[in-house]
Amino acid sequence: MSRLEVKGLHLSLREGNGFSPFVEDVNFTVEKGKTVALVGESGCGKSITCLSILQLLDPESIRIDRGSILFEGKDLLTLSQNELRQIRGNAIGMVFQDPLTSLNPVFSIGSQLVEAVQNHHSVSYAQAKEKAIQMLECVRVSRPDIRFTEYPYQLSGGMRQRVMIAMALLGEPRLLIADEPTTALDVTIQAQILSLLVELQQKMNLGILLVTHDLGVVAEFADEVLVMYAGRIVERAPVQDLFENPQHPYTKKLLASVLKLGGSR
Amino acid sequence: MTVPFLAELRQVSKIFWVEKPWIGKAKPLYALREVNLQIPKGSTVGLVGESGCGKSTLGKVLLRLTPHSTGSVLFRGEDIGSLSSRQMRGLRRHMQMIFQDPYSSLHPKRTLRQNLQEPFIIHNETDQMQEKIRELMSDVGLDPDLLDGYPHELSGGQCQRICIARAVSLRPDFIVADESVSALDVSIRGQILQLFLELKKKYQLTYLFISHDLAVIETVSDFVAVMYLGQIVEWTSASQLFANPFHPYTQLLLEAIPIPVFRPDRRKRHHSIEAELPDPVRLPPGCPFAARCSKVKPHCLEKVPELRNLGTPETPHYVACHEAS
Repeated sequence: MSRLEVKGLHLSLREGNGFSPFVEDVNFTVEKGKTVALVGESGCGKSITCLSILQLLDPESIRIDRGSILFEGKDLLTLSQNELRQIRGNAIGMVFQDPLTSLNPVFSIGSQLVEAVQNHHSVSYAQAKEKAIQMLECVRVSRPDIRFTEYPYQLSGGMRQRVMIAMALLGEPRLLIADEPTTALDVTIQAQILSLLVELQQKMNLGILLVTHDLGVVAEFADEVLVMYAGRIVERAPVQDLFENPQHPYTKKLLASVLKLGGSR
Repeated sequence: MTVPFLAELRQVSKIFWVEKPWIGKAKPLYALREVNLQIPKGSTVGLVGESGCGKSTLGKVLLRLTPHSTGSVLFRGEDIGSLSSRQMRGLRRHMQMIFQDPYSSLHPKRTLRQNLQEPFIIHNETDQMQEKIRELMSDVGLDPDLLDGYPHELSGGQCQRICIARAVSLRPDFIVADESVSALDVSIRGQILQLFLELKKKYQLTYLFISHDLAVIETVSDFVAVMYLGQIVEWTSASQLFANPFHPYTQLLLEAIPIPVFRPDRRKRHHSIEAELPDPVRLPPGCPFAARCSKVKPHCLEKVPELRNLGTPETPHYVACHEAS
C-alpha cells in the first residue's frame, strides 16, 4: 500500500460569492522510503495541494471539491476533526517554508517542541523534554540543551529550519510533507539539511513529498517528479526521465530557464 | 586626472558594538575586517558569501548608507567618508541601490508614477519628467499605462523592474544590487538579469552585484569577490574563479550547489554536517574558516592568512589561505 495516494483532487478558490476551480485533477502517490518532488513556479498551486492533504486550508476561501487523499489506505477527507488531529504532526509531519514565522516568537524552542510531543503522547514534561533534546541532537543542532531554552530569534535561519524539521519528526511520522524546506537557506546549509533528510529517510523509511522550485535539488534528491502548471500536473516522471527526456513543453522551458554554473554566458 | 577605479575600499573595517552587559563595555563585532576592494569603471563585480558574512554591510558602506569605522571609502577617487552630508547628497544621484524585496522598497500608498517621480523631485530635475518616466518604463520592459497603478497590483518581477527604473532614473554611474533577484521565481530571474545586462550597456553602468547564489553571480559578473566572516577570502575574474577556485571555502560553496542535471554520482550525496559558523563576536585566532576547512593545518589556527596574489600581475587571483598554491 502506498504511503500517500492522491486521486482526482479538485480544489477551488473563493472569488466574490462563488468558487472558481484552481487545482484540477491532481493524481500522485508517495511510496515509503521514496521522495516525490512537486515543482512549478509560484502561484501554480503547489503549496495549496500540500496544505489540502492535512486540510490546513481555510474552508471559507478554499474548498475541496472532489477527489480522495488516501493515507495508508484511509481517506483523510472522510475523517472528523478529532481523527485528523491524531494524524497531523504524528503520522504525517509537515515542514513549512519560512522557519521564522512558523515558530512562535514568544515561546522558547523547548516549550514548542514539548508541546508537539505532549499533544500526541501522554508523557511527563521530563520525558517529553528528553525526547525533544534527542531529536534536536538528531538534526545536528549544536548544544541542544542550551538551544532548548532559547527563543527563535536567537537562532540562525539554518538552525531554525532544523528545529522545524525536528518538530515535524517528533511524532515519528511515516510521511513528511516539506514545503520549500531549504529555499530561504544558503547552499551550504541547504546541502546539510538535504543530506540530513536523506539520512533520516533511510533510517525511518520515510515517504517525503518535497515542494521546491529548485531543479538542482530535484535532480539530486527526488525519485519521482511532478511538474505543476496552473493548477494541473502537466508531467509526472521518474527523475532521470524528466531531466533526460522531458515531454511537456512547459517542463522543457523550465529546464532551459535554469541558470547553470559553467553554462554559456 | 584619471581615476582607475570607480569605487574603492581601502583597509575598511566596520565594527558593530553588541552584547552590552548591564555594567561594562559592549563587545566589538567586525562586520568588515580590513577589507580592500576595487571596482573598475564599467565592470560588474560579484560579491558572494553566506548570510551574515557582511556582504550587505559592504554594499552599504560603499554608498555610505552606513558609516564605516576605520579605513577609507573612495568614490571616483574622492574619500566620501570626509564629505559633509550636503556634499554627500549631491553625490548620491551617482550611486544607487536596488534591494532584495521589491514590494517593501516602493511606497505602497503611492502610485508607480509618484514612486518614480521622487528622485527627479529630490534632485530638482522636473523638466520633461513625465516623458522621462515613460521612457524609463519602456527601458525596463513595462507598459507605461501601468504608471497610475499601485505596487500591490504588480507581480514581484514587475515590481523589481520599477525599482530598477527608479535606480537608473538619474543616470547614475554605480549601482549596488543587493540580492536583487533572490526573491524572484527562477523563470523571472533570468529575465531580470538580462535587463540588468541591457541597462549596463545602455547607460554605461558599473555594478556591485551581491548574491548568495553563485549561478547568478556567474551570469553577470566580470570579477568575483568571495566573503567569509567579514573578510574577502578570494578575488579574481569570474572565469578564473569558477574554473579554478583556490580557496577551500569557494570550493565548498561550489560543491554544495545542486546541479539541475541527472547525475547518478551526485544523487543523495552525503554532506558532512560541519561545524557551525564561528560566533563572529568570539572569533578564534587564526584563519576564520579553519573550523570548517578540510585542509586545516596547525599553523592555520595561529595566524590569520593575508590576501596573496597567486595569479599573474595582469590576471590577478587573490586568495587568503595559507595552504592554497
